[in-house]
Amino acid sequence: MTDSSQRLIARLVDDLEAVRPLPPIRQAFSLILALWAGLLGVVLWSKASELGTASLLEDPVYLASFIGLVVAAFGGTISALASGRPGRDRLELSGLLLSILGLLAAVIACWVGIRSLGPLAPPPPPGADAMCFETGAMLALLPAGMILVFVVRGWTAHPIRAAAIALLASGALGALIVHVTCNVLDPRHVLVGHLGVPIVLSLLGLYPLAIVLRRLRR
Amino acid sequence: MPLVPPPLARPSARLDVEWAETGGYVRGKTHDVASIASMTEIAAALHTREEDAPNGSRLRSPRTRSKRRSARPSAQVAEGIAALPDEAEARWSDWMRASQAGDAAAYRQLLVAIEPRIRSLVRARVRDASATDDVVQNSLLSIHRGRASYRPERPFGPWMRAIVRNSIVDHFRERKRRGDREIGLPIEDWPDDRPAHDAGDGSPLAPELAAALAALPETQRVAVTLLQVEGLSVAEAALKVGISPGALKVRAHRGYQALRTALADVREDGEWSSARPPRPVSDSSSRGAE
Repeated sequence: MTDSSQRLIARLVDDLEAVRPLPPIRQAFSLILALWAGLLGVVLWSKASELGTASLLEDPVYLASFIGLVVAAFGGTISALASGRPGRDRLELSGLLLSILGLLAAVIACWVGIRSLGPLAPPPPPGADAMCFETGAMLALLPAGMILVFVVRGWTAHPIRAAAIALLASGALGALIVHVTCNVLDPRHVLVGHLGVPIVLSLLGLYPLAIVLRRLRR
Repeated sequence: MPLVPPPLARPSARLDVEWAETGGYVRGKTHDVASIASMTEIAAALHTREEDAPNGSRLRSPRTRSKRRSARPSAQVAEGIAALPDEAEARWSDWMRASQAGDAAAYRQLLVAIEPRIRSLVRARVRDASATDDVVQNSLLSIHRGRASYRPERPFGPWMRAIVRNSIVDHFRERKRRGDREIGLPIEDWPDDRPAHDAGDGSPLAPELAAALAALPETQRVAVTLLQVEGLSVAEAALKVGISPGALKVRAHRGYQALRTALADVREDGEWSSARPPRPVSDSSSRGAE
């Protein structure tokens, strides 16, 4: 061992403080799921009077995009949680792949739905896209914060990737609540107002969040 | 047992055997096969030879070695990283668990025990000896900073290797970045033959350099001083300042640039005393000499 390594080890030992290990991924995932379920409950309760017209089972495109969003949200969450833990690369990449595939499937379902619309199909209600997008983005903030707490407490080998996954997952979680509680079945609206949330959040927040994660790792 | 057998009566009956020692191949050793009838016996002889290796080191034939290699998981072969023995794995996990609870003695034991392992992992990838030391220290620092991310019920080896691997990747990434923007200068071109300056106050710095250093912003001055005056490694200096090695290097780099600018006049006047002039940046012939 070199002298400088010995000196460094002595300094590291001096600098040692007790730390609480990160909770297991399963436990962290359950916490996030519970938070998300709580949010969903609150939104359902607050929108109780407006609900009732739309059902997931009414429209196959709506159902397919729901399943895609579920896969994207939960796969992405697991991937984001694994991204802060060295040695869990396989789980991280599997979750990321699952998340991207889920989102892609949802987008394809919407695209198929849009193609099948007749020329006389009425446009979605004005302002519905923006309202759903805003609501989804707002609802994504809390899960994003919780996911990031776990990511930041860990040790992120790839800050950019971790940032992208965290934003994708939290965006999908927010969009999923909107998707469940929205009454507009039009695939154009689903594509922009619902699926747009994780996509836009990942694209817009990727670099700022990656910089923050990189700095926090220091 | 001596490695070279006694001279043989029939040279034609000699079988050249290439032995693999733990530290590398021992070529040209011979083995008497006059009395060996079949390949099974040759294999048995090889096995005996392996057990008789001096100082407990194990000698293996290339074939045995390649078979053992092929039995490893492909990912590990790709990384050139062998799995840890279970005992070491369990011991390190225990020490890490104790370290997370704040046990300094266990932490010291852990770091001392894993340092050679980290070094061997790094050496398998990084050829430059000085860079090896830097990567090893960055790995130790990352292990220190990321110790909360270790789950006690999971094996320690993959966790540690992931951090080391990341440090190696960071090293190559940074070397590439540096290679893109810096030009190396052969060491013989450096005017190092002048005696070290001593201003009488014990400072090893020339007055003009000391003044330029004092004029730097606090963060840059600290980085330059720790690295160049106190001679700390990047990891040590980063730990002392409480920032990442990368951030420290950035600060030091900015400091060097500021010093270069500040000392430009002195260089033009040819009044370099003992301070080493800033590294020239216009020698295209030495590009990539690093």
